[in-house]
Amino acid sequence: MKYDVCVIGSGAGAGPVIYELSKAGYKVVVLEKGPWAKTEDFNKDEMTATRRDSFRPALKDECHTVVKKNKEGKWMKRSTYDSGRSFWNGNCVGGSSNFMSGYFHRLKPIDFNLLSEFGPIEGANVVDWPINYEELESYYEKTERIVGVSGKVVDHSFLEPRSTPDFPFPPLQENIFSSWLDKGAEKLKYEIFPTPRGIISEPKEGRNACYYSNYCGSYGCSSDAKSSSRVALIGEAGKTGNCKVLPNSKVFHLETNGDGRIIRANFYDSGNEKQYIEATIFVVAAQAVETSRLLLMSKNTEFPNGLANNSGQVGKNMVYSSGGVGSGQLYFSDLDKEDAEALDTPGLFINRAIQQWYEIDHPELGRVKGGTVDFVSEHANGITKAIKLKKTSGGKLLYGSGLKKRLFDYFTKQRKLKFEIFVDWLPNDKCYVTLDDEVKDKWGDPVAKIWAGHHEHDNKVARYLADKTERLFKEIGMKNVSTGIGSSPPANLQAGGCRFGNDPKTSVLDKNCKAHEVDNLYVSDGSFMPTGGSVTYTFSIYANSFRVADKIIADLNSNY
Amino acid sequence: MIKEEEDIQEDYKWELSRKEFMRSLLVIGVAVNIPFFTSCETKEDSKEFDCTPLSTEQLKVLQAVQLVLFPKEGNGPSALEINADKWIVYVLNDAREPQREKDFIVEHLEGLNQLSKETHKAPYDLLSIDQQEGVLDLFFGDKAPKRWGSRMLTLIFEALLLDPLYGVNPNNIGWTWLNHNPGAPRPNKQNKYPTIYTTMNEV
Repeated sequence: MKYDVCVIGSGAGAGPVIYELSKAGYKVVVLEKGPWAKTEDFNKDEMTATRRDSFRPALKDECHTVVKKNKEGKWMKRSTYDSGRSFWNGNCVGGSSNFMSGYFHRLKPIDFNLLSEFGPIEGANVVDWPINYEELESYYEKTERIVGVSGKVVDHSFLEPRSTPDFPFPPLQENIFSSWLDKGAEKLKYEIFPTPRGIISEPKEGRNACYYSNYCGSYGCSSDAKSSSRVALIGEAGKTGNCKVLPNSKVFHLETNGDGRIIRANFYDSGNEKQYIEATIFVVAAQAVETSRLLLMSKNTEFPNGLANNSGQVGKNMVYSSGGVGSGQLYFSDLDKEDAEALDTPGLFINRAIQQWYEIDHPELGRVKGGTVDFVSEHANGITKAIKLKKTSGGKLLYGSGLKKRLFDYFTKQRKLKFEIFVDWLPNDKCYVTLDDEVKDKWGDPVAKIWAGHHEHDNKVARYLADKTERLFKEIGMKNVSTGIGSSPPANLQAGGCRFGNDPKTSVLDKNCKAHEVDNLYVSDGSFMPTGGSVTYTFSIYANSFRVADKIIADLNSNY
Repeated sequence: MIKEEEDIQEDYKWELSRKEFMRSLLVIGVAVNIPFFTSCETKEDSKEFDCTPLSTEQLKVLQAVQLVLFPKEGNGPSALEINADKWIVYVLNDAREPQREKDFIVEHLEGLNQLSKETHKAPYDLLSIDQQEGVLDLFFGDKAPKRWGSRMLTLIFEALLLDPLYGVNPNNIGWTWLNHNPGAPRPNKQNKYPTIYTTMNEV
């Protein structure tokens, strides 16, 4: 059977395409490399979710190699099998959207014009987007409504223009700490506001509201409140009768006909047998690293450097959503009993953010793009918390009574609250993905080699935001306030590698996310982003995928 | 949410080759003729459970060192009360755990015992508590054994805080001690590790 559309991947970048095309009556097949985990397969078991990574491939079977600069300034390669730090994110139907925390900030209008707004930065490949905010706004609204976003719009200096007055779902319930942040922010004249979340606070079409399990990020949702692609979109697509999902189907090659068109997707099935699917249009949404890898692996005489890569742009200019993580502690002994009990209430969200410094004009930094600060609780994972306590700050291994006392005090006498800083990860020549010809996966294919070059400018901006935020934590009486400014790419927040743009020489995709060089290839995950903005990407990936779905429908209607 | 590196299975792996390990043993003056993976010859003596692939002697060393790392001193449960010894045996028998990581655990257990014999002419489990701590501190003086100690602590934390469904943390003893809220739903027989791999693939 030849399908109208073959979608590779099933996460946030794939879901809207699958949903819209199925609803429009097109026959859609989805090739997902992971299994089809259902809601009942998810629980709050640290062993399954994070200690043994049951929803990610075993690194001995499939790893990545990561190239980072060491302290001496030399670029060193290390396999994730050796480091134990997986670069996979939720390989199952719905992809990593099953395991996200769902911080759903929109991009701002200035994010679409970073080069025009702030000018070039030496060593960074900053460009403007080929579309503007207005072209994406209606799709943000669509995502809020169809996928499900909760929150409350509060005016602030960088509130993006909206076509609707508020979110379709009211804010989630909050911990008392949120009100303390509000008071501190008021004193400091900081513009704090409720964080929109891709988690529904009221039931929606068979999905239950959030039940405040205390284990959200890294865990699959047991009430379907989390707005994963699996729950919000693929389930609905399945009801049309037009959508077929093939789990455990690992695509390894897209085959062209010698005339610039893909004719089939070759994949390994659950028994590791080679199979193929034929379709009119192919949509790749395997998450940024793997999308680039698949295109690079799809070499042939027509595309000797990889599919859609005659310009040499595939895999280039990867970006990550990162900046730094800060924390502070509140000791119960410093609080009255009622406040201590309220702070210790599990499950309730902090849900506060500051974007007051989304643009900075500073004597030393100049006028530069700033970022977002999100406030979060320390993750409830007990083992992860304990692991952090086994070494002193000097690196000495603690054990015996001293360690047990430290554990007991940490778990029972305080709460750690955190803030996460998101600044632009400036695209640069040392941040890209290529194939590693020395390391193969279990099928014998080259793994992705991830070069994680980072621009020093990002650290300066992050430090600026950290200083401001630390002041707020201290204002409300928090102890041990500190921030780690990071240059390591967080594996769960990745984009770029297949930039969209108007010039085929400098971009892989056109403004509709169709490959310049391949007539029937679209890329609908975060790969399209030439710059990432200073927010996490998932909301924008969803919104852009809805936009791309409209372009594909128009393409099918007019050209096939 | 940014996944910090320290959140992502810190020290779950330790990148140690056998060659490095042998070098580390030589550095601390331990004989290298180690009887790796001798089977549990007298399981009756090992008290209650099949400790394969550990030998009875290795199990005794394991239990002794776990009690030094996480003792019974009145503040919460000890390593043995949370079944940390059984948990190590489970991990050593877990088909999904890379063999090199299992080797790392057993080889260093042997290394610790050899160091004890070298320095005190007696197996580790027969030393006094003070002697055991002294040998352990000496052992941790080298990088690889210190990483092993870190790994042993992580496995003790797993025994302390995982769901009792895994045969550890009996009667929620670890959760109760630390006032830890495990969240709901808890794992069941169908979606616990490693059954989840089968469950997810059922049609």
